[in-house]
Amino acid sequence: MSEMMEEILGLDARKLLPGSLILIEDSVAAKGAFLLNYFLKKLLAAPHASEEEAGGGTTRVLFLALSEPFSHYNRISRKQGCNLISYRNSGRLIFLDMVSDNPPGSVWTKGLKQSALFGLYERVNECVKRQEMQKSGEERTVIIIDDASLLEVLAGGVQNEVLSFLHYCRALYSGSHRCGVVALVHADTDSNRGLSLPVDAGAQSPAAALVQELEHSADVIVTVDPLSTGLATDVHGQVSVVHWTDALCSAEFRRAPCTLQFKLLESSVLFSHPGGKF
Amino acid sequence: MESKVRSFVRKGEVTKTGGAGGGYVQAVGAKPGCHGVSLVSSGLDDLDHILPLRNPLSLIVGGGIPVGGLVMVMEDIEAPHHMPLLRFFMAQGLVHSQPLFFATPLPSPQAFLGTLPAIASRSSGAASDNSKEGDLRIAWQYRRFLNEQQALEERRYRYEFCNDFDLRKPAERSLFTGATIKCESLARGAHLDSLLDHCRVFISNLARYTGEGQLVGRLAFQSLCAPQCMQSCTDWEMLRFLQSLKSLLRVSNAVALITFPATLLTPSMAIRWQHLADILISVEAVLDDNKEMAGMLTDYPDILGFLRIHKLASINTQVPTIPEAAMHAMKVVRRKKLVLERLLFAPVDATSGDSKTGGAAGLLCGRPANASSPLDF
Repeated sequence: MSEMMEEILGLDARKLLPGSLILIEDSVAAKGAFLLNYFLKKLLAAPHASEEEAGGGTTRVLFLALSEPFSHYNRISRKQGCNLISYRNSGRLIFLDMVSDNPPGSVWTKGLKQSALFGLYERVNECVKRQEMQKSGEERTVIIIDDASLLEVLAGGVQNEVLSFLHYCRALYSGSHRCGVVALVHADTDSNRGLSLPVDAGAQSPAAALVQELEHSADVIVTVDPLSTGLATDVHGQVSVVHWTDALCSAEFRRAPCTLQFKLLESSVLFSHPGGKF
Repeated sequence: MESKVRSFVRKGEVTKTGGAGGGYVQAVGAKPGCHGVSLVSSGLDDLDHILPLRNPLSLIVGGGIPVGGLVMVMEDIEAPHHMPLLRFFMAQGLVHSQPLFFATPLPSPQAFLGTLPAIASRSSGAASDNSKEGDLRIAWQYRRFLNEQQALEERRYRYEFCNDFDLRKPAERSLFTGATIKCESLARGAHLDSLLDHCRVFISNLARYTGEGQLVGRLAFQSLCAPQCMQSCTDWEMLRFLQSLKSLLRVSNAVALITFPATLLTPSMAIRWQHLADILISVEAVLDDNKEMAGMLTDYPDILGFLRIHKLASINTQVPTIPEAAMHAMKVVRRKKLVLERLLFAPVDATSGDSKTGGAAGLLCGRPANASSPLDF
């Protein structure tokens, strides 16, 4: 059933435009972290079959984990038939675990003289460059970030640092392509969301939240929402996909936002049209 | 040559990382849950049953707080219903001889420890046992087996996953002797760096216990974003502290419970706090003059407050756990035991006649006040 999602999202690692930003928005009632695993699996597993015909073009993934440790993602992926440890050993997956790796003096402890994100970017850069040395054939790197709201915490609430960090990540060259970025962000942290502010109130209103800024620069926005009727065991929520640019699909597919309902299973995610059967 | 990696992992495998990282914790008061996560009790039996991790076993093993998890309780500023949850959480840890870390904005945290509830005496059960013994006519030489049985029961009771607590009695002094309790007062502001260092030392001490004698530590934080605490730190520093704490917990054998008055934070900050929680609960006060509610619920006068489940833990899994009921009533039975019950709605009173004004059903099913026709909803 996940073909439905693939069709709407149009995710093809080989056609992914360099430097594109895919934004996943979620809320407290409906967590969007399952989509990160979905992307991870698709990016790591999909080009495998067509590796030879595409001239050895593979996709590497750099996973920047700020909210959960490696074991969490590994367990989930293993149930879906994707062994992260073997990908990590083969170099296709670079996992930066900022949760388990938490000694005194790490990114989480205070060192505000130098921006925490600057240090983090240096690590990301180093990892991408190191992989570039060992590369064979044409490659792309996608950076997955879980989650960008925690980057904001890390930066002490300075939005510009987060935006710069993401911009630098998108500007990183791996081989002849720039890195793509998939980032999760908590949309409900924006307290002005859903309020239609009058135009002239712009001067008094606080600075636009990180979510709005990211939305502006994103190529594709995937929004995860709970059902308006409340929590249910059969349908866990709905996702809507909006393509802002042609990063993932051609212009004729860019139509009105598509909404699908989803049900999460241990081994997969089921999608269906609203009201349809899984 | 690519090294071959097994995807099979032995179920009970104990790894160095501990906590939610992998492997079950073999400690007093911990039991295996699903997805390789161990569970500890919240101290309130009914709450444990609301917090099952989703699997068929949950009916058998029940639920609890996953080791490595962070529980957040949103306080109601009108009623202190979060306090029993905090007290039960701490008392249960002491009963299982688990190390305890407690931080509070009160000037003397030790005084708070004196208010922890005692284990409910099993006098009623013991009395029935005695009477049973009286009825049972057995030869005297077999009586020792009865005593052995009783001793076994006692021991099992000591190591029960979740004990009953008596709200009226303070905890016995024997519970505190030999227990590792670390208290911090945040009355003069929360100095988050030193607080985090204390937590780190507390958690790293737990790692010394390995194998059979592992220990699960409990960290309890009362009203973490109270004005006293926030006078020495900013909102963002507090979030950074919470995230560091969560990272520490994830890879250790510890659980934490934080109560916080969410209304004192800005809405955006409160949502950020909620995102950091693994299990999110809020408590709400009962309004005395809420006639609508009183008409709707059968046992309204007995209800102490409401407990709402917002989020349940989904560690090592992508499937969210959906609670059967989000809202529960907190009640005190015989002035000593706190129970959680699902809300029971009163049957519709058909004899009241006029449905426009009669009772809650009329309110719920009737037409809106400004509707032009009776069929207009």
